[in-house]
Amino acid sequence: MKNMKKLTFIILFGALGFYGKTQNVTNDFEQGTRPYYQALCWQFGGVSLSNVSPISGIWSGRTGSLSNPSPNSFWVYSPWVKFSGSGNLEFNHKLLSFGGTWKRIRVLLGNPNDTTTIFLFQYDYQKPADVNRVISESVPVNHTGVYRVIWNFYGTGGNDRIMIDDITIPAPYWSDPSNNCQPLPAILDTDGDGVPDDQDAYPYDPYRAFNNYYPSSDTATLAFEDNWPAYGDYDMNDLVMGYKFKIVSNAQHNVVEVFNTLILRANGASMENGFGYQFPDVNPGSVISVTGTGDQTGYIINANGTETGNSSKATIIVFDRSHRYMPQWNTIKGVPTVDYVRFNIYLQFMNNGVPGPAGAVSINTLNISGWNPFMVVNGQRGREVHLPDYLPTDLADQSLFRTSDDDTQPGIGKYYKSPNNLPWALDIFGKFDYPIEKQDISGAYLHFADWVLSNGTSYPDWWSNTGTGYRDNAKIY
Amino acid sequence: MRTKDLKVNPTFDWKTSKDITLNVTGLKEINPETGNTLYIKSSKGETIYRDFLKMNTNYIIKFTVPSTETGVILVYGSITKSIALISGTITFNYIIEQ
Repeated sequence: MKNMKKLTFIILFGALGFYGKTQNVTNDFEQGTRPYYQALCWQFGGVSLSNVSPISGIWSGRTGSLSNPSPNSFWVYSPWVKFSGSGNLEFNHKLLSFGGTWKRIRVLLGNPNDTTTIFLFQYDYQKPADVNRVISESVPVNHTGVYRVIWNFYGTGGNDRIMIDDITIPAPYWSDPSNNCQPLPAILDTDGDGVPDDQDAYPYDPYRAFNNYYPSSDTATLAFEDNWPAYGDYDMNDLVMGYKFKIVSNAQHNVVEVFNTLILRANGASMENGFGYQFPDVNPGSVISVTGTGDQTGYIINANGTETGNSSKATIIVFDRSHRYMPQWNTIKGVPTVDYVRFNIYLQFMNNGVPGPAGAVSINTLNISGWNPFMVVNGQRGREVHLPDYLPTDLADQSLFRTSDDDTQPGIGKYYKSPNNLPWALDIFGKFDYPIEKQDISGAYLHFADWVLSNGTSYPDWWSNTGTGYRDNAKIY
Repeated sequence: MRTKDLKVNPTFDWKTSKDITLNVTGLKEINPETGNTLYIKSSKGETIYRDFLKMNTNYIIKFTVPSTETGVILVYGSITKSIALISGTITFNYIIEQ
């Protein structure tokens, strides 16, 4: 196969330390596009990629017409590489025609610190013997240090072009494409986890590297109705929980620990409602410990803090009844507001690099946006209220499905929605100013119904826009 | 209109956010240890997600933005790209089209 040239990056030996692998940098031009090679920090001056009369494969580099005696007329710069004192620079070239007086190819080493160069090689084409003849070069490079290879193509007269191909530089790649193709800096990685100190949130801790947050700013809000499976008053304030996650991961993108802040803002209900959540893709055995939860009276909890009975999905019970923590409702204007109640839940997934018995959990497996929060109504463990179309836990009482106003139909993936597809819970991606007691959300947020009935296309900012016509502030707590 | 009188399309997504999958295509030719932190930022410049990516590796990254968000800015060292959120999947590579 002509286009199956050697791999562009060939690993000859195993690791010799950070950035210390012995490798060759090659270029066979077979990607056929300059931006690809420029992304790899190759640079071209008046040299294009051509599939007309290539030296090998389908593509070669080709200069413009060499009618200028300046060596800087046409050139190719390699990425920065790090030479170790020996090895041969190899490449193929050919002159396509020879109508001019003289034609030359010259090879230099460029220095990263200044504009000085080191001469390596020069060839003057012979007329007519070298026309269309592929010439293979093998140029010793006995220098040590970081350089780039520079090819100059020049000459006078005629309309003659040179092609170049099959470059092999006997040195490892030493450019940083993410830093304007500068030479790689000296890397300081104190904890040796593979993440440089300046990009490591925990530069002295080999078991931690990054913090991520969900949502990215502020807290999001869960707003529940607790009369499920019957409709309630749709004031969406029977339980209002703010939430935010900080996820700490290691250099391998595995979750080390999760800091979950939950803020009880309102419980406009006479019933004693609990709250919990589930990670649908996380085995309970991957959780080492859970701390920071409230009272869990009536629930059976495993030694690691997850709930017993949900054997395949880690489930956390945050508290058993909200009024234990917030005696006032925080939904009635004129009644003094009580302080929000904060729960700082801590979930440990790795301890000094060792995961829980069921194995490590990647960031993608944690799937934080797919967490499954739920309310437990009035202390009845099986009476869960989830976000629309979110699955019940194993402990949900499924005999309640399709009773009263609920129209859950697992066969079509419909959960916790009414025959009219109305939910009993909303997840607002920000701080939500909930309606006052017994005030239907459609009356408080004047474009809520528009958003719903437009299938989400109109007024997606119904909850966040405080402009005229969006809210009836008298109906919002 | 009362909420309980609304007749909602069964396909309506009640979420006020949207999940995005980002496919990152690496350049296999890059030194295996060369990497940098990828920042996914909202159109307002808030960091949504960050992770250290090696340039020679492909990645699949999931993140969430408000439903109202129309685009994100991806910053990887000296490389910055703005990407419109037209669908739930976007792509990123290190190649700058000239």
